[in-house]
Amino acid sequence: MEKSVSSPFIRFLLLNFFSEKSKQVTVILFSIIIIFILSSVLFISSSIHHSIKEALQAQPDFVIQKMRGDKQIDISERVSDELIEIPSISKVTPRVYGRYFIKPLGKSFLVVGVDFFDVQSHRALEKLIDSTNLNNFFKMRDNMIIGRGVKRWMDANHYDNNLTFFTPKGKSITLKAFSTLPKESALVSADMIIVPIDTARKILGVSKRKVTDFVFNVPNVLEWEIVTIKVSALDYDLRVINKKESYKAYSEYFDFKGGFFLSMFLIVLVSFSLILYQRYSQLYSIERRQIGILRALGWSIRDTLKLKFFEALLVVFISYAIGVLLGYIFVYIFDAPILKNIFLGSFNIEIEPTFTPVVDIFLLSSIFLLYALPFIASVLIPVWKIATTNPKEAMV
Amino acid sequence: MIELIELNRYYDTQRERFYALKDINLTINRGEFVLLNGVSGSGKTTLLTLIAGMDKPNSGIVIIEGEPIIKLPDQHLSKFRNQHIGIIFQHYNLLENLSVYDNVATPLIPMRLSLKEIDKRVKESLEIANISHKASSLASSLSGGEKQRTAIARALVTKASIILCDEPTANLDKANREIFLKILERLHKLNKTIIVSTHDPIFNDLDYITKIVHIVDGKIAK
Repeated sequence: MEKSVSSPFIRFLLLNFFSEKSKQVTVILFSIIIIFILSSVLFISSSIHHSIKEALQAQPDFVIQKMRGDKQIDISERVSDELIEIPSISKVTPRVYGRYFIKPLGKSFLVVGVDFFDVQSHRALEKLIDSTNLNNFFKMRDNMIIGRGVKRWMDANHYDNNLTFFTPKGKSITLKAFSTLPKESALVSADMIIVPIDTARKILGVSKRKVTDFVFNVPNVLEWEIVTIKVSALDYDLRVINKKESYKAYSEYFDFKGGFFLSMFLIVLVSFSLILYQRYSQLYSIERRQIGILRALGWSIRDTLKLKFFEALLVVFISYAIGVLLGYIFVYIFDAPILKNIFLGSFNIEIEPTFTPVVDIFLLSSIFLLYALPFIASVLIPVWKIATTNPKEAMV
Repeated sequence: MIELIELNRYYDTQRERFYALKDINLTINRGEFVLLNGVSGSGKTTLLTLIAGMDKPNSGIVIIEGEPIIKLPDQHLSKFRNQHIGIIFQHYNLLENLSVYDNVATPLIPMRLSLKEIDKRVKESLEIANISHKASSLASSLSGGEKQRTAIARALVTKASIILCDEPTANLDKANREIFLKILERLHKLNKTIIVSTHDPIFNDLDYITKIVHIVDGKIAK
């Protein structure tokens, strides 16, 4: 080290830093744990946000539902003729979907009816399943495409490949699992069952001339507001939801349900209490004496603060690099076991998502600042206090 | 030259004002060897601390080499202390986790010297203090005498003209005391101003002492 470092200050900093191994190892280990948890939480959160954004990108710009007494009701197919009259709307797609409950087991699935002849639905599905398979799927009427959560649930309950649904009219429909949706979309599709639109009508009890909602696109975002006003004017019972609102609703759901803020709060709280403990425990007196000696030898308050600042920065950098790397591996390679339950534990069926790696400068800076600022402050404030007192008293 | 004019240092308690030093007037010329005598608690260490600029008097002035050091801001006062004053403490006050070499080099860090210059100065000081053979040893592994010599080397390394010693022989055996005195004599010959605060009688018979100051209850005895 002596020959490789040309600055006396840096040489002294490194010598002093590595000569207090036991103290530094404790602080660094603790810091790594904090940064690992912090980065894992932020990686999961940003990955979820990214997945929602991606999933919603494939979704239409507008969803139109009919509400009565705060309850969604089926809507006549003829409404599409009125919607198509509005300038900026060129194509309206009817949809049939809804929750199918298996009461004794306390589970529910999202049944989505897809119209083979509808280009938009077809394209959206093609993004998930290759087109050859998709054509085969539509040829056989008693097939369904299931999410990974549904697949796991069926396997666990020995359902083989078939699932029997009971319609509101008391008839039974048995569908065969044709394919499983990919792991990458599990966050939004885990409990999904995709069936032909007529089958969905039967399972959910939707009349022939009715649908659950309409969807359409308006490419020019500036027109979204006026389109919303015009659709609402058609019938005050119509509820207009645009893609931005859906993203906001999803994000709020995961932020809140996932305990993101709670985790952040706990991490900051634990950081502070442990750092303060470290500063004011037995290490404090050793550090106090060292600062007193340096001051007596002619180190100014500024010199002393500079030494301790860079010492703290070294701890932060080492911990940050290792902590973030561990967090990345934990979340993106091992899919964050245990921790993911904070975010996804409220799902009615177990889902096994794959977190898409999302690492941006803002995210990395946030992790760094959230830890570095309180840590460095908690080091420098006591150092400054000691450095400004009589060195003789500090050395005692 | 060191001038102390009307120096007072007191501490207020709830009941009374306690004077650690009262009405101190003292002039020490360059190259003098001054002995501050007095029992424990008489105020010797407080006087050394004020000369070193590590504490400030409640009233009075400390002038060193024509500079009223009390009025200097921290940045300048620290630099002044670093360049002009070397201190040898009773309990050595070494950085125990660093080697003898690095302890001696510590006061040179704020001086922004090159590593080569630092190396030269440290080796010279280790030689004068007769501790070169322990340069790479950890301070924590040294005996009392070796720690004392390391502290001497550290006080010399900045080429300070003033050396302050606070009860330097209090923790040394007879052999190490004699070694220490020989080093002090050598420093005196180098025209350093040396101020020793002690109540050890071994200093009383030294023929190179130029001034003995008796301090009793914070005052200089006539």
